[in-house]
Formats: sequence, C-alpha cells, structure tokens
Amino acid sequence: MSNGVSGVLHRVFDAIDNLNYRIVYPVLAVLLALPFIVGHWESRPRPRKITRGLFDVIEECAETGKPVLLVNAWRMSSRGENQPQFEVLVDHMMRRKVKFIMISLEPDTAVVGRSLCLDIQRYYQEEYGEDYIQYGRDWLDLDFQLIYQGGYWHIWIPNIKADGLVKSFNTDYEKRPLEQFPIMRRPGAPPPEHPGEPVDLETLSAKDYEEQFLRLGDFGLILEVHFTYTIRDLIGLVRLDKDFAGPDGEPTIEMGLGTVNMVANEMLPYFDSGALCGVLAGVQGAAEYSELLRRKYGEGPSSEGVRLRANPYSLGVLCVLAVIVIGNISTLRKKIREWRQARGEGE
Amino acid sequence: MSKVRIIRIVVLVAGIYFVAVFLAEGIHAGFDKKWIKPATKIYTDVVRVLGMFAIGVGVANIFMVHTRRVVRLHKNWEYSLVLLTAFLVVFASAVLKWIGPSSSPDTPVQHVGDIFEFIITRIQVHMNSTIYSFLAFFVTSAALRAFRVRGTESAIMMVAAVIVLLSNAPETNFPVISEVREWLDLNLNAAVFRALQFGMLLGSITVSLRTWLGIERGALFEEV
Amino acid sequence: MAKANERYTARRLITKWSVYAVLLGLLILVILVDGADDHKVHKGLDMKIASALGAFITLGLYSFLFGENEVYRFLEHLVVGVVAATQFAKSLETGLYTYWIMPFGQGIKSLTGSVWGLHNLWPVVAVLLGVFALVFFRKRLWLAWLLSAACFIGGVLTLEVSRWAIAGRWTPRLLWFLAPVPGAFWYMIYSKRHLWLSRVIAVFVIGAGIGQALKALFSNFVDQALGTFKPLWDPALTSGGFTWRGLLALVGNYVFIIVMLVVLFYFVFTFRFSEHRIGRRSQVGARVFMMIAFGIVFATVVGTRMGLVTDRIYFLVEEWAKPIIRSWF
Repeated sequence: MSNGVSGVLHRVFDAIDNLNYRIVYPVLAVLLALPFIVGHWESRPRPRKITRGLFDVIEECAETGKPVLLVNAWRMSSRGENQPQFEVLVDHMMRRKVKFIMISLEPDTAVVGRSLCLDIQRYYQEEYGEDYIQYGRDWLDLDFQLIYQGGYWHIWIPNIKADGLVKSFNTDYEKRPLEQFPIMRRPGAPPPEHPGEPVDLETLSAKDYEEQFLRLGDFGLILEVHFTYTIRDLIGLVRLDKDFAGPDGEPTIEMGLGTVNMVANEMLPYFDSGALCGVLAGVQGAAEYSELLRRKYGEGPSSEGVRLRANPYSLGVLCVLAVIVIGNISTLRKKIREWRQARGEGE
Repeated sequence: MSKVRIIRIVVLVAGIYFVAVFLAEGIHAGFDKKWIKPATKIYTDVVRVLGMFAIGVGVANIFMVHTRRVVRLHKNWEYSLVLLTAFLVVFASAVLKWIGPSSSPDTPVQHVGDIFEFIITRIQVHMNSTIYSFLAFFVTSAALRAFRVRGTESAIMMVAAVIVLLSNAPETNFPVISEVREWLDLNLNAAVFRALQFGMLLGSITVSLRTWLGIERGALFEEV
Repeated sequence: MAKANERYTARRLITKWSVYAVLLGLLILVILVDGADDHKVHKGLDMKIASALGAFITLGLYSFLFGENEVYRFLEHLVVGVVAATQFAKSLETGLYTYWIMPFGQGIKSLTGSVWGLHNLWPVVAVLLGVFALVFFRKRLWLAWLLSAACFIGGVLTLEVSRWAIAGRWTPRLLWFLAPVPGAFWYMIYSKRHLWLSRVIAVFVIGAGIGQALKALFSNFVDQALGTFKPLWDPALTSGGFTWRGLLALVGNYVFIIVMLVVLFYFVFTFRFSEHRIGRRSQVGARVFMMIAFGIVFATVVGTRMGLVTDRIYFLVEEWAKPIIRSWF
C-alpha cells in the first residue's frame, strides 16, 4: 500500500471512481451559482477577429450613416446566450447613434427585445438628454413577423424588394403607419411636402415612393441575433444579388450574426469567404464585444448583464475541463495498474 | 392520370416559375419591373397563405391522440388530461386577448386579455429554457464517464477540445492559447466545415432538384 | 387478482395526487411568504406568481436528472400543451389573420360596405365553403379541383378585377374566398381515401420553396467556392514588409487549402481513392483534421449548454431566491 502524498492521491482517485456520476449535477449547479452568491469579478476576454469584424462594420455604419436591419430571431429558451449579444449590439448602435430597424421572428422575444431597447434608450436619454435617441427617428420596431411559417426569406425578400419596407410591413408594433416615421425616409430623400401631416401612399406615384422611402438596398448591415441562423439564406438572396451591388460590382450590404457558440462554428467558412463580416459566438462573443466597447467608450448599460453571465459561464467551462482531466487520470491509472499486473504476472 | 403523376406535375409547375425567373434574371429591366416583380409578389402571397392553412394539422393530431387516451382511460391518461387542459386554457386566454382589452406585457395583469401575454413572457420562457439547458448536465456527466483517451484520434480530439475550453474562459485564455485557438478556428476548423458544407450544399441541391423533378424516392411520391 | 390490481392503481393514484397536493401547498406558501417588492420587472402579485411558478417548473423539470418521476412527467405534458397552444394562437393571430382574414374582410367591406360589421365573418363562410366542397363533393372531387383552379387563376387576376370594380382604388383579394378549398387539402391527411390530396398541397408549397431556395443554394455554393481561392504568395514578404504574422497568415492559407481538399476527397465515393498510397495517407490526414474540428465542436457545445444553464441559475438565484431572502432580512 502506498503511503504519503501518492497514497492519498490514489485513495482520492479510487473514491472518485466509485462515486455515483450524478454527484456532478449538484456540484455543477453550486459552481454556477457561486458568482451570484459570493460576488462577480472583472474578466477581460481577448476579442477575436470574428468579433472585431462586426464591431468595425457597425462603426463604419456610424460614419456613413447607413441604417442597420436588426433581425431579432432568438427565443427565450436561448436567452442565456443571445440576450447578452442583443444587449451589447443595441448598446453599441444607440451609443454611436446608428439607426436600426428591428424585425422579430419570435412572438415572445419581440416583446423582450423591445423592452431591452427601451431600457437602453432610457439610459442614454438620462445620460445625454431626451433628444439623443428617439424612437421613430433613430430606431424602429416592426414587431413580430411570420417569417418562418410565411415561407422563410425565400418568399419574403422578393416581396420586400418589390414593395419596399413601408408597403411590406405597413405598421410598427403599435399599429402606427410606417410612412410617418423619419427613419423610414431614404437618406438624402426630399423632405415630406406637408411636414407633420400623414403621408397618403395611395396618391404617391411608384417613382416618388421609391425615391422617398427606405428600400432593402439602403441598409449597410443586416444583423441577425438567432439561436441558429437564417442569415445563410439572406446571403444568397440579398448580399449576392446583383440588384444590391455597388457601381464596382461589390456587395454593398454586410451581414453579421450573433448566435450560440456551437452554431458559430458552422458559420466560420462564411466569415472566411467574406460573406459574413463578423460572428458573435454565445456568451463568449458577447463578453468580447463588451470588452471592445469598454476599451473604446467605457462601461455602458449592457456591461453588467454580460458580466453577470460571463463569470458563471467560465466556471462551468472550467468544471467540464476538470472533469475531463479527472476522468482521463482515472483511465490512465487503471491502464498503468493493468500493465504492472501483466508485467508482474509475466515475470 | 394516376395520382402520383398529378403530384409530380404539381411540384414541377409550382417550382417552375422561380426557376425560370432565376435562369432568366436580368433579361430586360423594364420587363422585370412591370411583369416579373408584381407576378412574383402575387405568387408568393398565394403560396404563403396556402402554407398557413397547415397551422391546425399538428394541433388536430395532438387532440386526436390525447383525447383517445383520456376517453379510453389508457395508462397515464391523467397526463393527457393535463396536456389537453393546458392547451384549452392557454388558447382560451388567447381568444380573450383578441376580443377584449389588453395592455402592454411589461405592466401588471389588469385585464383578462393580459393573461395570454403573461403566459408567454413569464411562464413559457421557463419551460423552454429549462428543457434546452438539460444538456449542460448531461454533457458534464458524459465528459466524466465517456470522454477518455483510447487511441491517437481521440487524443487529438481531446487536445483540441482542451485548447478551446481553456480559451472559452477568460481566466485561462492566455495569449498563446488565444492565438493557437484563433489560428485553429480560422485555418483548420473553417476548412473542415467548408468541405463538409460543400458536401451538404451539393446534397441539398441534388435532393431539391430530384424533388422538384418528381424523381425522389420517399413518402411524397409513393403510390397511394 | 383484479381487485388487488384495482387497489394498487387506487393507491398509486392517491400517492400521486397527494404529492401534487403537497407541491401545490408549497407553491402557495412560497407566494404568500414572498415579501419582495419586485422580481426584476414590476411589483405585484402576478410577478410573485410568475417567479414561484417559474422556480417550480425549473426545479421540477431538473428533478429528471435524478431519475424519471411523476412531477417531471406532469410538467412535461404541461409544457407540450402550453407550447402547442401558444404557437397555434400566435400563428393564427399574426399569420392567417394578417394575410388572409383581414385583407379579405376589408375587400368585402370596400365592395359592400360594413353591413352590421359582418364583413369579417366572410372568412368563416369561406372556410365552411371549403369544408363543404370537400365533404359534399368527395365522390366528385373534380369539382373541388375546379374551385381550387379558379382560386389560383383568380389570385392572378384579382388585382385587375378589384381595381376595375372599385374604380381605381386598390383592394385586397376578393377571390381569396376560394382559398380554404386547397387549404383544406392539408387536413386530408386524416382521410385514408383522400390522403393524396394532402400531398398535392404539400408538394405545391415545397415546390415553390425549392424554386426559391435553388437560387440561394447556388449563390452560397459559388460564394464558398470563390472564397477557397486564397493567395499563395504575399509579395510584401520579400519586398521589405516581412512580418512573422504575415508569414503565419500565408502558411495558414496553404493549410486551409490542403485541409479543405483532403477532407473533401475523404467523401468522394465515385472511385476507390483509398487504394492508392496518396489516397490512404490523405484518408488518415482527413480523419486527423476532422478529429481536431470535432474536438472544437465538442468544446463549443459545452460552451453553448453552459450559457443556457447559466441563465437558469441566474433566474433561480437573482430573480427568485434573492428578492425573497432580502424581503425577510
């Protein structure tokens, strides 16, 4: 029988081998709850290229004034991964006054997404004044749209191309006509003939409608936050459509995605080919994006939410790592023991 | 004309419009704007509305299966009763919302019409999130029991997994680990996934073409 | 023997329902002792009920980790019922209503005026027509076919007919009246005799989707193929702009192309690639590269699931337990 440290270690690993594996469940739950009980700590993740790409494109949209189409497609079941991403992206866009129009693909997160946007808007209005960010001028919510059951983007994009956004969606989440909102007017379009009066689309000619109101090609970025993705269809239908190409033939609309960690892997080839400008990978991606925001602009309304989730996430990942190492040490011990026994028998 | 032939003709005709538009794209800008865009819109609206009529098929199936269990008092019939009751209560709350007053989901429940939004935003969220999060525990116990090095290939897989796990946690994401992980992601992982996606894309195109031309084997084109 | 079984069933039911009664009592107790001012959103009894129910659902479902049990099965069936109902109701509300019932009702209203507000009942009449057509003419389905064909052609002509009828004002589709006839084909899945009709409508929708998807698929394929053509030489490396990072990027390009080709060839089944020496080695290489990729996939799966369970723990501790404990002390 071994004595000393190695003996203790052998006994510990023997005990671990004989444990019921279900002990891992409460251990994991306690580890994840620890930061909420003991307190959170600062963690500084290293932003990767896939995160920086998206950050740079939104900065570019702020410089050029091009609006962003935000596809809010996550579900409450993936709230843990997608909500921090949604928060940091909206925080960045509102902080830099990048105009964005939000379409929701799920009925429950249509409500939650809007409420998060309103919270962040309220923060910046308290910080910089009421006029800093305004609904209708700087952002718009088109509410839940039945993209999935309505045939996916394959059916919707041709309709939106033909009709423009105003006629395709008609009203915002409170059933107000879209043509009254300043954000729906094309950048550089002439102001309305009678400001303050509602615009009558029926009397507008097709040419005037096209000149005055926002079309799909006017967006600088289509950004999706989803638990998987639908942006792959959008790449084929929008980004690679010659109707949306610039004078040099290059696509004018960038595509970005915030998704769960394991799906971000599948989208790496699209990032590599340039079809996607950036991918946020789960909580880690949100933490990296938050770090980029912090480095350039300081802490914001989204920092706390990301930190709350990032610390337990780290502990969970390290727990799995520890469990893999322990399991493999146990296997290695058994193999050494068998080899020694075989050698002992052979001699 | 046999029924299978009718089905094949329908699928061919249904898809032929978009395929023709795709192949003939950009023939003439005026023609495109005056005829193709409005026709596409009408056709896509027809397809969309007809697709939406399928909403009730799954619900009808649920009702048929579980009502049979309750009426005939099969084993564990009380769970089927729970399911049907939950369905009817939630649907009734939706109807109350459609016909009565309701307020914003972020405010307290003031009218009967608010109950539906309350169920979606406050009750259902917990159900879905918990179901999805189960796998975290199973992954951890599987990592303890099954993720063992048994040969060269599993050792390679484990080394890659350990590097990425270390990189996932900011506390252990040292510069070397971060650089190695990024390099692996963008040069190796992306290459493997691209190759796999080529295979999947070609497979999707093949199956789509076979289905469109009606030569795919499967339930859709079986003799009835 | 039968009586012994009855007693066992009765005893089992009593045990099951008493467990539920205890749990319900605990739930009510939690709501009553919850003195928290708010559970993160707003104050009120509805938030206390929501938090308590949420905690009950979460912990009850997690009880499955320690073995199948009655509470888990109860909650499992509850989940299915609630989710099915919400999806159904939302789809009706935002889909069928917005794209068929409302435009159709408004079209009738603009033609006939609002006759006691009954214009919105026309869609119900249309659905009944669809069911009637299929049930009454089930022996002469050619009539149902005729009505469907009229609907499809009518959908194309509708805009012109509406404009003519209402002197220039655009009106939504009057001939949507006939839409429930092909729409009801979906429900022929429950009829042995007319099962093929459900396939007809399914392939119609599938065929239209395929036509559109082909464009996206080809575009994706071309985009990915073009993205594989990476630069194999960087002139800056030999003309005074040498950096280790640049060299590493160039090596990365070579690695990318080699890995991609090797893995692609692993899935070529048209000829026996593995019979040649290079083929055998490339197969080994492909497996090594795929093992690295699958190791990365495993790690990202762990990350995803940890993110999701973190959210549940966040709810249990921050949104449920802490406000209650704070209200006591």
